[in-house]
Amino acid sequence: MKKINYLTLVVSIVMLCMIMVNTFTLFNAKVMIDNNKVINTGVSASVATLIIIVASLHFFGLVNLYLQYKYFKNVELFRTFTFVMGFFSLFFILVNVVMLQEIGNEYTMNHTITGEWNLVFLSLFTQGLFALLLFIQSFVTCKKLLNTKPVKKVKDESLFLTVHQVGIITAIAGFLLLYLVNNSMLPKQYVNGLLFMLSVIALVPYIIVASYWLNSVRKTRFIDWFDEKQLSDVSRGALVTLAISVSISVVFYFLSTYNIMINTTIYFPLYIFETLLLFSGITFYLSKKSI
Amino acid sequence: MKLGNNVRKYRFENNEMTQQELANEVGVTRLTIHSIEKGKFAPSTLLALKIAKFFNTTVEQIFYIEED
Repeated sequence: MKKINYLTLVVSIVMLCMIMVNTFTLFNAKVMIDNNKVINTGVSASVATLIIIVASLHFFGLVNLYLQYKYFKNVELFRTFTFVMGFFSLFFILVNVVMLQEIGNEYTMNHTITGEWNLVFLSLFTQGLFALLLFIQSFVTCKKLLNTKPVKKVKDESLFLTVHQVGIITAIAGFLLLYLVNNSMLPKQYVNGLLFMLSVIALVPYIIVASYWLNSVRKTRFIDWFDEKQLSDVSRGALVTLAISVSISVVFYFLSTYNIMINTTIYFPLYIFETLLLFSGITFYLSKKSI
Repeated sequence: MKLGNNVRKYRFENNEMTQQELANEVGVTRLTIHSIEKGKFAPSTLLALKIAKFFNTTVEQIFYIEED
């Protein structure tokens, strides 16, 4: 575990350097395009190579975060947040590739390039943020590995709590994405498609972690899936979620009846994230309440 | 009326056992043992019997009713 963690520390520094080089290269390319200058064809090859390497290192980072969880078997908000950021960063790498292709097409056809650069630099910022978070997480873990020994647990609460932590972070990220897309200046036909895609992307970390939990308990009897306190917390969380989500749905119904909120496409993804936030938030709070 | 308990006392008398070790013995999570000791969670009959059996004593020695 120590060797993998030290390697991740180095990998995160390499990622940060590559992202900085990419940012500098693309910024220079933007300036040259804005000044109608010709760009060297080698630029695209170097940017593409760095993107591929950074994307590969993302997977390495995510695997290391998973191995840290398996080793320590504890709940850490920072590690969970870094894990979720890794998935969003991977998604933004794809956005980066698509936007750079768009910029390339518009540049060759001599069209004006509008908002694509904003998304490119947003993507680079997200990648840099993940690399930085990974570095900090690996650095802190190096110190912990010196002092902490793994503890044997017959029934492990850390995975249960981590699923709810990921649920909370995913829901908040989902709300943020919905807000950004809904208030963007994009035409309505793009907004609806983008809302659906972003909602699915935002849910990916939660689906993966919840599926992992389900896979870990599937061979046991259903009554053994939860510890008795966990069952009590999940039941109470579900009851409160039902009560609050029904109330919010009634409010949405009246808002749509009187045409107060114009874009009704966001109602369903909003309902999904609101339910996820309520259920995960309340269950996590009840689980930790005694501490 | 609340449920009081001597779980922590019995744990310390049993070679200063940790909450995690007790949790492993009775098949629950450490958080559950912690919640029981703090009086935030009332265990089921089965769990109370398991804890008593582990400490080689009766349920009444470990759990009791606290008058308000």
